[in-house]
Amino acid sequence: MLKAKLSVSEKIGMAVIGIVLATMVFLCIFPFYHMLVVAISNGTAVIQGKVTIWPIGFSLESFKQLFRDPYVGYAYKNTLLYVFLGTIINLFLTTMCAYPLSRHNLIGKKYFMGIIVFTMLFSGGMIPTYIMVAITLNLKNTFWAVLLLNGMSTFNMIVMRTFFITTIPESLVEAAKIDGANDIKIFTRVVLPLAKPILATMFLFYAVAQWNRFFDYMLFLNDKKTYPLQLLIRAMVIEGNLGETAQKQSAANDLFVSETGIKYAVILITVLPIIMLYPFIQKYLVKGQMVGSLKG
Amino acid sequence: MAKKVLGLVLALVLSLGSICAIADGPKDTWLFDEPVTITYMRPETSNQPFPEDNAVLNWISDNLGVNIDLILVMSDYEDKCKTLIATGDMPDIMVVDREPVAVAMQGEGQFLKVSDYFDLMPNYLEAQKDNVNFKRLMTADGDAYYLLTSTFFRYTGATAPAVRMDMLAASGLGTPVTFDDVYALLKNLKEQDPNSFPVSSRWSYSRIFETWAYPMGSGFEMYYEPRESKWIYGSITEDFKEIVSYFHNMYVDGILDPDFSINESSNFKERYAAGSSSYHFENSSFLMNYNAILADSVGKEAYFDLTPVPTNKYGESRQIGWGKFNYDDAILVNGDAKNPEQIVKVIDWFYSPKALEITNWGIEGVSFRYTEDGKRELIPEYAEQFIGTSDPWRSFMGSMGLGQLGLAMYIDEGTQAYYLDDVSAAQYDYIANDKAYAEPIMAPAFTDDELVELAELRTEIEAIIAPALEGMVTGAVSIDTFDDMAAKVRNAGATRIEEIYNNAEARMAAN
Repeated sequence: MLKAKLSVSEKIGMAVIGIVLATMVFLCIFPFYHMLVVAISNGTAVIQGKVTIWPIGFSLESFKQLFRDPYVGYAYKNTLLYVFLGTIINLFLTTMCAYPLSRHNLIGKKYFMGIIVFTMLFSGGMIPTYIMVAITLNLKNTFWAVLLLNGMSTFNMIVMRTFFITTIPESLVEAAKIDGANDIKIFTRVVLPLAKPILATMFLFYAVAQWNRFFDYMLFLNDKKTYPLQLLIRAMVIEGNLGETAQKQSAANDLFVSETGIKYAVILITVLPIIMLYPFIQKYLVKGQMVGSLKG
Repeated sequence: MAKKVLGLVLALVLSLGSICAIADGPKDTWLFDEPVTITYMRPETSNQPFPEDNAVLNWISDNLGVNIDLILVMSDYEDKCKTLIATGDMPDIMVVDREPVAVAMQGEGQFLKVSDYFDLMPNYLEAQKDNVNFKRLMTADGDAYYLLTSTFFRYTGATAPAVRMDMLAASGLGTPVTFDDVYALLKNLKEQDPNSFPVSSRWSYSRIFETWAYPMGSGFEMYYEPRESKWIYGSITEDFKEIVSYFHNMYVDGILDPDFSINESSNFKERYAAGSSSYHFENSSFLMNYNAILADSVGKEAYFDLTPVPTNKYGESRQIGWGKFNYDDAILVNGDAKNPEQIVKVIDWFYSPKALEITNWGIEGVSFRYTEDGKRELIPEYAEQFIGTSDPWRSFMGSMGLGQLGLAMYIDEGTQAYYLDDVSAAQYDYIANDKAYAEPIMAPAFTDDELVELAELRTEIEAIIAPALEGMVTGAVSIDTFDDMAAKVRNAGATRIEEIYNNAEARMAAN
């Protein structure tokens, strides 16, 4: 492929764009890099403010101490379970709700849509929600309280419905019907395979939301062993509650670990799994994110 | 390693023993004929996490026939408490912040009126008999809706002044006697290390006022002024204006940490431990940890030690001490509980001599034993396994959920002696014997209407005063506007708040 020769002004423009983008990349990556550097540095150097660009006194003690806390292990397992189950529930409910609402022949479509949109604009508030979930449904101290409470995002459902309207033409559904497919077959064999971009986008949105969720767990769960990682992280980072992690550190020796080091270590182990998801679904994500911009 | 295994084996044996005992049926020591289960919610604090398997709870289950279903909350505790209270889904017992939760909501009917059950609580009343504030913690009608933890013995720290002794020696200025001396010292400390900020603070703008204002001759927000024998809204007085000016000068001279109002506790403590701050007017129990790290990073000559509370312009050396009793927390009982008598009896047991032993010293033969002269002492094989942790005493207490941050409602901190170094022991002695530290005077008992009015007035005043005071320290707001701000705060209700407090105080005196 021949390269077009760039004029001087174009070269300058490209250089400016490159610098701006590089700056943006640096601004995004540096906080993570800094946290990593602090987490793997000697605690004394950290509290003396000497650690900026390079680690000083390389040590993995922050991470070791973090994983010595048994509750970090429980929380990691719980989070993976909650994200996995929660995202499946989210995708199931969202697709099952969005697809029928995208079909023109659904009886009472406007009525259903109105009711659903109403929940996006008005919520019951914390106290009525708590009474319904914890007392009426008796789901207190089970993770179902949180997973079912957040079963579907109305906004995401509307985005997915828009995708179905704009991407799955009625004629395609009719053709499948003529070929003898029933509604379930049409949905599973025709609609869902064509909906991969939006499913991937929704998967990411929901997985991130599930990964970040903490308040509902704090409210509905009582057993510390069932807490998700975010609740533990919040206690450690925001409220300075380092729990057993801080109890087990040795003071005033080479293995000294600063509270900041432990906090940064815990942030890193929290964000890494969800960041690692992006490369695998990025190609779908780019397509899927455009969906919301189209008229429904 | 062998010691840890031994500890684990003993704990397992104890747990199995408890299970077997419950299976065996009631014991003579049981509080009730049948086993009782009580839900108990409390925060789990940063310094002392609970163990997964709690030997003390197992002992209580075995010997009292009371299964305590312990709910530990690590974060957003106040939100959870308020939600549970508002929804009527409270556990049987919960520990809450006294002022913002127990006092603010005591008239709303969700809490058991515990004063109606005082005849079932002889141990509690005995433990509270020395509490000079006991009547202040009730309503104006003499009703009590919450209980307090009590203290049998504790090492009393304080919000006390301390300075890096190596830098004090280098200054050649001597120990500061007045707040002017303090300022001269702070300027010198800054000169010794121009990159440092000798004074830091934490949490919010208010913290530095809360710790410094009373010793400097005024007080932050509402406080009891002994000079005038009355309650005063301190933050708008002429004395307070001088304090704001003092802090502003510290800020301008680079003495006060620019992050003073946003530091978390960990940032704050790291500044002192790292040597970037050198004058400490805060929790004296932090000093021991700073010194350990300073010795490692700067040298053994670098250490903090307490100095006397400087005298203010009235010639007083004064500070509000931590006091014998803990007024921060309150113990609530669910007002809708089906078995209130059983619950208060269980709570009362927690103030008994046996509970004092079990909930503060642990299990006899495992964590402590009796000496020949009948005194308790920690068993070294158990206690030594925590040496080398960042906070050995808290680690020991956490291993069985002991003490104030654990299950104890009647506090005995005698176990701390095992882990106390000489310097810290001397500091505790110093504070205990320094008459500058006085028992806190709690607000008088209010009526329900007064509590509602106070809450409304405070909200209005806080919106005016918070941005103004912080701005005056940093220079974003001119100190010349202090008088206008004070007038606004008076009009917004400060005068009325003073009136309510002093009327309530007079009412208590009359009764």
